[in-house]
Amino acid sequence: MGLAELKEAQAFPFSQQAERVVKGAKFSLDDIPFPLVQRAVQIVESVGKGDNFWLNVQQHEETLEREVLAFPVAKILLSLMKNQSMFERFAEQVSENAFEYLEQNSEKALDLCQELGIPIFLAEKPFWARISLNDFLQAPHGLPYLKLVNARVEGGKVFLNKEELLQFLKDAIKQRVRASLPISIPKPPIELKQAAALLASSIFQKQQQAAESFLKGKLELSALPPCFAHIYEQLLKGENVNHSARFNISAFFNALGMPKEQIVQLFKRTPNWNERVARYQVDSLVAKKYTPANCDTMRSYNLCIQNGALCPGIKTPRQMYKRNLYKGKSA
Amino acid sequence: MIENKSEQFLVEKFRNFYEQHRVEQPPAVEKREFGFGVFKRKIADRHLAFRNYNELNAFLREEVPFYLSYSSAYYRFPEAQPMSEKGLQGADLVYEFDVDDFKLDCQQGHNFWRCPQCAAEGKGNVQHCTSCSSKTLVEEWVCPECMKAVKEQVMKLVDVLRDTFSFQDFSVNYSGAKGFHVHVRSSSVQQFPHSARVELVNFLMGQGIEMENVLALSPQQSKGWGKKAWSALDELLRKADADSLAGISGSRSKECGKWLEERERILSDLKSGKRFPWLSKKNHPAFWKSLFEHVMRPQFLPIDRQTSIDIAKIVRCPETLHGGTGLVAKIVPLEQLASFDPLSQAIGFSTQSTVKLAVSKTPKFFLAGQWWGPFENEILELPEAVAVYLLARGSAEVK
Repeated sequence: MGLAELKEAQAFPFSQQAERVVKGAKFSLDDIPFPLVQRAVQIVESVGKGDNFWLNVQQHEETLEREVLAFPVAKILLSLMKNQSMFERFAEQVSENAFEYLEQNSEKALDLCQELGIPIFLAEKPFWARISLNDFLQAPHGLPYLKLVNARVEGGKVFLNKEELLQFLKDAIKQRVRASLPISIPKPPIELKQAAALLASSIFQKQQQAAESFLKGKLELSALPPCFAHIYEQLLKGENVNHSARFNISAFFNALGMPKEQIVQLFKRTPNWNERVARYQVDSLVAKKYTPANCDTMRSYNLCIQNGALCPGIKTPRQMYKRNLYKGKSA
Repeated sequence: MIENKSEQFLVEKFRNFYEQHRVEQPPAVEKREFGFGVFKRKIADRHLAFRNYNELNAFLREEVPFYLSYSSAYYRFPEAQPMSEKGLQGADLVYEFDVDDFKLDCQQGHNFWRCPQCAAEGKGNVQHCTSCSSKTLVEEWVCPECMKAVKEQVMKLVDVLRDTFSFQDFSVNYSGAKGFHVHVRSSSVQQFPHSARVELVNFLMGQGIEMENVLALSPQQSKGWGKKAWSALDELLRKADADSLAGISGSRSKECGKWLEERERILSDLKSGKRFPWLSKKNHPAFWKSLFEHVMRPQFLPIDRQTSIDIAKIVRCPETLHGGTGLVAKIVPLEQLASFDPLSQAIGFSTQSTVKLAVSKTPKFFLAGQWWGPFENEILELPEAVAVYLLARGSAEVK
């Protein structure tokens, strides 16, 4: 198989092309070469940290082949770890990598649809393709422009431009990979079981440390999600910030355990600072135990940065904070 | 256990109804979970199953439930508990409209409230007592205006299901009380995941709609809500004056007047596909957003969200009686929907024979083709259908 085919197999490790590479390697569960296990462990570690395991992979045949072969081994390790969150993150990472490849090689999109069993048809400009509503709805879509309410729907078909088609494929790939986990392994080799156990211990220990920090209310400003990082920056600069932003950042910091007094002082530099009013509003918010807004709500207030593009797969700012916290602890 | 003469009367009437009317709903009865209710309680028990319509009808005749509900979901073992043991095989899509979700002028005339604390009362949907601020008890009635408003929304939904989504195999039934249900039963929708059901409901209700996405293409190229939005904006701009635009957008009349001076150019540009600079960041997006929200609000449908998303929910079984009104949850062929009058055509009892009742309080209400009342603490001889209605509502007792 040539370099181009291997690049494609790496981008789409769930594809028939990738399967051919794996079958061609002719090793069984009990004699997986050590370098592949090692690479699979690195992949799972990266997933655990929230890092992209594609980074720094050399683009030559031997390395690419190793990547393709390590994919099913990584899936085995994940399956032995039995952690739903890791399955979700792995699927997200694989789909993100596939998306990046498709952005550079968009001509592969229609073939990939066929591979995934999604009937797709070319459409007249300004659209690129159309798919049936039923097929469009099979995978959940996070980005606002792929929500059905914002899509171009007519006669039971959804019309997509190129960007939308690629994002749709990303979501479909994520769903496909997610649905393939866990793999059933009746007699896992002892080496793989041990590797999975070590990975689980290491990754979950770090997650626990991050969670403890989170629960103890020790605020890590560097881990703030983009939406609240922006509002916080504006407040530090003394810029005027609207009511929704003030309310939501107060609710967020309160949920993270920031003392009331500290929340009140956040607004000290704003042009219309009134200590009595600020104190009253923060007291009221704390007493009523308002929960912080989720990402959909933040978007509805126009407080989301880049429409969620900086926070793939995230549903709430707290979730993003926790993830950033964990990544920071792992560094 | 039957508690009084009125309830006994209703049980006998309901039994007669089921002895004379065979129910052959829903489709695939053997795969559905059923629940039933008693007088004044919609769901007393669930996890029932019937192997065929004979068993279902035997149950209706012998047990005489006041309410019968069924699952939109199909199960391998519908009677199994807990829910996870039922073996889910798929689910219909169900959309529910209830007049409670509509704000209608007629409600001021036929709904009334009462304060349980200070006994104050009045008309309309007042939630807190005007004398002592306590939470009120609101008695809700429906009238032909209410039903007309709900039917209009049902027909809008049917248009979307058919034309936008290309769904087939759906049926509409009156709920028996204050609304309608629309069921989509094609095999493809039965396998929709939860996320798909949420997306469909959000589309219908306009939840999460974004002007920048929806108006990203020209009027000619747009589809879905975009097409409707452009058409509605065009109509608004053609007809609006400065004051009405100011009222919608919150801008000053003078400013709106300036927009209208360019009306023809704006409309011509939009028609030819030049959306910018009219929708650009420099050109007051807040103004356009307020117009967009104003024209789109009436397009969205006031559906009961939970009914459509929660496939564990059970809904009224079509062609059975509603225990709170005695009316039939009648299936309505689509071509008859516009002219269907549920308050006249969903009657399950005689309009000829009469019953003597002690009626407490009712507004003027419409039933079986005519207006009745208002009544207040009266002994009356009323047609059986009207009597059943008032008894089921708790507004009367058998004399």
